[in-house]
Amino acid sequence: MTDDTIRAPHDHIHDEPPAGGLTRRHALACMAWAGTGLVWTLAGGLLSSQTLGQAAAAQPAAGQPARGDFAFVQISDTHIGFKGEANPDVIATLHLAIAKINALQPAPAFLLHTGDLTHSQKAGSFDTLAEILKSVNTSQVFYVPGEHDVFLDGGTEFLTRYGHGTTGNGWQSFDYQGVHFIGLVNVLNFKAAGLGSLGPDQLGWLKNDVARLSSSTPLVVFTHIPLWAVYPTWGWVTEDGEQALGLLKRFGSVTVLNGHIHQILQKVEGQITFHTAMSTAFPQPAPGAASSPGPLKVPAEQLHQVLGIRDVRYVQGQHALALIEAPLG
Amino acid sequence: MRLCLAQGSRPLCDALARVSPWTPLPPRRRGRAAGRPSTLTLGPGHPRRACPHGATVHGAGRRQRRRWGAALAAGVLLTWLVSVPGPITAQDTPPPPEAAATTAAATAPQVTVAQAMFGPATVTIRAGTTVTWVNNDGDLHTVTSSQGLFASPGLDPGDTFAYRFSAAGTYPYFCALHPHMKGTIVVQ
Repeated sequence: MTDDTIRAPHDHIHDEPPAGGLTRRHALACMAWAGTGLVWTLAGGLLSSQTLGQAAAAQPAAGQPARGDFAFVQISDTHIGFKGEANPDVIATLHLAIAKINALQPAPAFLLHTGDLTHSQKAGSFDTLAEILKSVNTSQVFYVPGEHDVFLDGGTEFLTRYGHGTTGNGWQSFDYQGVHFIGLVNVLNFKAAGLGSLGPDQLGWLKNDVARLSSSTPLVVFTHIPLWAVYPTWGWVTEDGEQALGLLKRFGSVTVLNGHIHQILQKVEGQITFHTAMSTAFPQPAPGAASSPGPLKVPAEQLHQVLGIRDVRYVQGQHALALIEAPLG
Repeated sequence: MRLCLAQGSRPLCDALARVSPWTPLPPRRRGRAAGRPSTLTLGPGHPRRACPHGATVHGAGRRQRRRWGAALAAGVLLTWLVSVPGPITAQDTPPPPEAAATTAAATAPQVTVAQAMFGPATVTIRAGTTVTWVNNDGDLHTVTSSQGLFASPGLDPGDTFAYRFSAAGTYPYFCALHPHMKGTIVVQ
């Protein structure tokens, strides 16, 4: 399997970092770039990119997708209950995110929430999120948990609320318009010095789940912690993620959507593309850019540029998924 | 040129990836309770959350600042709590204040959470001693026994958690939200 890096079509930071190292300004500039409207189109495992305007022009007509085409939205790390300098009002930014979603044309067929619904599982947090998400113009929301949703009770409340129709500890898959969606759980079984993990039972389930599928079936895998080694020093990796990816190698189009790190990072390995997402609550530092991970305070006027949602569009017959990053501001 | 791109397991941003070592960002502001005496966290007006195994956890809030009198009174309660045998519980009855004052300093070791680390990472105590953890970081953390002996709820910035170790042994623990954060209590 070869590693290919995604190449950006343009940039707005200097070619070389300033003498003495990267400044906070450059780090933030990079994050701001990550939140600009850019479409990554996956076709046959190869990524190409275009601006948001070009993507819109390529649509048959606004709000009129061709038959079999559809769109869905990834929302992540809503962290209901968070109160800190990095964002004093996560409810307000979530409402902004929902306004973004409800303005999308075509409307998303469904939402994928890639975890950390709540910040600390405080009483009422899940209820608050559920109530707010009622205002989203879509038919269904699929959830996978983040570690913030399960650390107190091992996932009991999460599974009670969202585990209906899932297998094991919340593993799930479904088909929509020819695309096979797989939701994995990699935040249980945290242990000292450990990392996110799927576990042998879930890997066995995954193997059986994809065994019946043709290799030409487009796959979308969504889970909280990145399946690839983003930054193991901070625990930003799934220790048995490679085993899961090995089961997906034969497929011609695999799109992996993750949350957890509150910023957009993307990578291609063979036919598999990896995409981490922005949070709607607060940003985190780029890997290694701070002494530790955690809520990152940015200037107030920049906060909405580093929070957002992801609009994903599928065009039938092309096995192509177009990812449109939509920052809040 | 490339930027904000994947490079193996490195960050996407090419400019970021070239920098070695990283220029650290300015340190994040710590929790509101930084530098505050740990005894203040036992104010009767503060929420006391249920914990397994008789441990205690206390939240810090703005109203804490307005309740110095209550907090000082609570300090007396804390010094007593750490001096009595058995698990600390909310049901304990305070003893005479003068009995507590002499034992507090020797029996109240503290572990501080800062920059996603427990410090000191290893603390050696005598059996019967209560250890208090103070979250002075800007993120949510837990204090979770690797052996399943104790587990704090989520500790917001400024929150504290206490646990009394009654038997000799080595007790590793970690943060359930950031499992790379580890610490050990050695009880002699």
